[in-house]
Amino acid sequence: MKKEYALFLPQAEDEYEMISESPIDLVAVMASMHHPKAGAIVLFSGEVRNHSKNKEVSHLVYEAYVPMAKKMIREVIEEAKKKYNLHHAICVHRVGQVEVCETAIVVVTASSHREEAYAANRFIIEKVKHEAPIWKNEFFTDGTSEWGGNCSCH
Amino acid sequence: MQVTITVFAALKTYFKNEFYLEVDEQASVSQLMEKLMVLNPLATSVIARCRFAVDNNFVSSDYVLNHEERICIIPPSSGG
Repeated sequence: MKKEYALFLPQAEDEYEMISESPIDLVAVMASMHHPKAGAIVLFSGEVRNHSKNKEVSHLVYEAYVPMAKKMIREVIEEAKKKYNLHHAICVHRVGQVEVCETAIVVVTASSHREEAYAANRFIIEKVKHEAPIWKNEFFTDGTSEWGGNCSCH
Repeated sequence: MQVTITVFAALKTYFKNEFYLEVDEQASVSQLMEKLMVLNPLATSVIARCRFAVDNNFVSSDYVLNHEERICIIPPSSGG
């Protein structure tokens, strides 16, 4: 079945964050992040894995309080750009059903050197995971489902 | 006075997605939390870990609610 990808075009600086109902095209996202001053571009793709809580995962369904999630992601991006002197930064998070091996969230950071790009990317994903009003509902192959709790990194 | 409550994610197990609630004049967010816990005691542990938002901004537990205000109850994040 052909996937319908989110139409992703280079956007104005103030339109760089997205909440997407469609699958994320990582190649298109990456292509929009090149910058003549950036010697380093780091892409993180947070993908759905097939196991959680010792059970087999069927798929995830993400829900967001969209206006506030967009606002918070925009603020995190702005903070990261200033803190790490980035040339470009973007974060796109899915909502709706996301299958195993699909991207739930992508973070791309572009800086002159790799140290800032790596650090900024980690900074953004941690902030979005822990603070943005976005939630996952995990559906398991045994027919059960469970809303995600705090991050497994705790 | 009446306020509108909007819930998300796991809270939908315990409450309607959106509903009106009568609260005392000058009621605070912490008093709202107590009222919700009485409304559905099963939601107590989730509510205790929630943040509250008005007009897309988080508010503290001592924030005083206003008539006909919409309060969003934000469970702990699980995105990413």
